[in-house]
Amino acid sequence: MKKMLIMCGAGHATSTVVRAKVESWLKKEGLVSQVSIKQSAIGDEVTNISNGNYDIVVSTTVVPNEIKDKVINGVALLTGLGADKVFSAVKKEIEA
Amino acid sequence: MFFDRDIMLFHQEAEDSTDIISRIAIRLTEAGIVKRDFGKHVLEREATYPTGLKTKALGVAIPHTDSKYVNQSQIAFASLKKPISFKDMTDPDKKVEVSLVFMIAMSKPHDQMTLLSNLMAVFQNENALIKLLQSDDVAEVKQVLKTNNIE
Repeated sequence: MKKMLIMCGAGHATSTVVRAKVESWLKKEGLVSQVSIKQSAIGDEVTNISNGNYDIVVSTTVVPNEIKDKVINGVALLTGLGADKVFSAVKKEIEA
Repeated sequence: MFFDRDIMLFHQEAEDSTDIISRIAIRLTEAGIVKRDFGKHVLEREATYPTGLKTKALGVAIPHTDSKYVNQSQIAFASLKKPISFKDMTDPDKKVEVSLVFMIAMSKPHDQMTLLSNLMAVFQNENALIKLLQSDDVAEVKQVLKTNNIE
């Protein structure tokens, strides 16, 4: 099972929307059983991400440079522009 | 329910993002919807974790902060006469020219997932966004939102 983190600035609003989008996509792809999702605020997670505690990280907010390459930008799931790209990046990590 | 207090500001001539955020926050505070330091915390959060979003039609921003500063869940709406710059949600070095602001006040975290998803869906609806930008009528804005399952 892959560990996925979905985060935004406060861990309230946009991460909630992204989580809903990701969950319905996982369902559609038949991948629900392969991923466990945690939702959180970036302030609580930078160290965890640096330490490699998650397999997949999707963020709707600014992330520090040192963890940039470990994070998938999930804003497209809010605006719909380029949502496919986000999902294929997530899929790649699930299958990795 | 999220727009039942009618906190809407039309065709504002704001100087910058701080100006428009403050104007909306004052209205929410005066209405008792949020606690007194809500606006200050929204501004602080916006500086660190900006909320400008570029959509196909126009720029929107969704400033918000922790639910502990909120008494009653509500979304305030503001349209701008001329777009103003907000920092981009994922890249603060980039700017988004914002025409519509939805200030989200949630009294409980993780609340109203459906409503928020529907609000994001409106951001993908060019016609709805342009209607919202042109309107100066509370009932009309509510109607556009209602059509998109937001109320």
